[in-house]
Amino acid sequence: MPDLKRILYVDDEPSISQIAILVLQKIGGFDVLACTSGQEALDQVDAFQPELLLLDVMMPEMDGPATLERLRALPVTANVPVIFMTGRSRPEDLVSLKALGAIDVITKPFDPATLPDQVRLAWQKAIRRKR
Amino acid sequence: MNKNMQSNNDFQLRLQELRDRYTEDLPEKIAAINAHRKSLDEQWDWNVVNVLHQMVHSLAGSGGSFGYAQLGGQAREIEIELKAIINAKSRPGADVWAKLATNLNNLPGAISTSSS
Repeated sequence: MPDLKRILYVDDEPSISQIAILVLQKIGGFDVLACTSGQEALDQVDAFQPELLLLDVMMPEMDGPATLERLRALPVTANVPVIFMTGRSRPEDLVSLKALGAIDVITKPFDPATLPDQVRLAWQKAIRRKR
Repeated sequence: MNKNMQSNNDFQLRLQELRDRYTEDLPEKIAAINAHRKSLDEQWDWNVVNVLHQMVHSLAGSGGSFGYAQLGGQAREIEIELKAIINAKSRPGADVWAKLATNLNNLPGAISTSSS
């Protein structure tokens, strides 16, 4: 079973982004490319070659689903598993995000201590299903 | 001290720094939220409503992750109320707006009930 290494993380909210990056890097041991907008992610993703997309849903200009749509059009991220992060926890919101192909949906606020494991487990499950 | 212990200490310090900074910034963030609400009392502007919603959304999403579960929960309720106003596309009645203002005014009190 390969291990997850590179995560593209897109979130416009600085305080939550800083804590997520810290725990993903230091607890999870991941390489994280952190972007504050969908456009920034599109500009930088080619060189990074992520193995997982971690996208905030509610962002100005280009939200998480719109960012995913644009990333799916790029060969480098066409088939990369995606996890959404959202403040909405209504069942219908979660279902609609899963319908976009999300392997998991993490609701905010999240527990920083368990975020890396949650991300890794969801990714491993998705990779196993693909095989 | 071995390298792993040093690394763990550095991580804990950095985490605490982020939490401290968040705590320091909270009163200012809440004051800015209330200033936006007050400006709407004076003049209704949908752009300001959207900014206010974004600010409250941010607080709702981050509060719990920094140990402010009650603050985050209260902010989430306000966010839902604001979203309903935005979706309705009509200026809320005085009673709805007064309730929302009260809830916003209560946010500073939730800072002191940090779970961390």
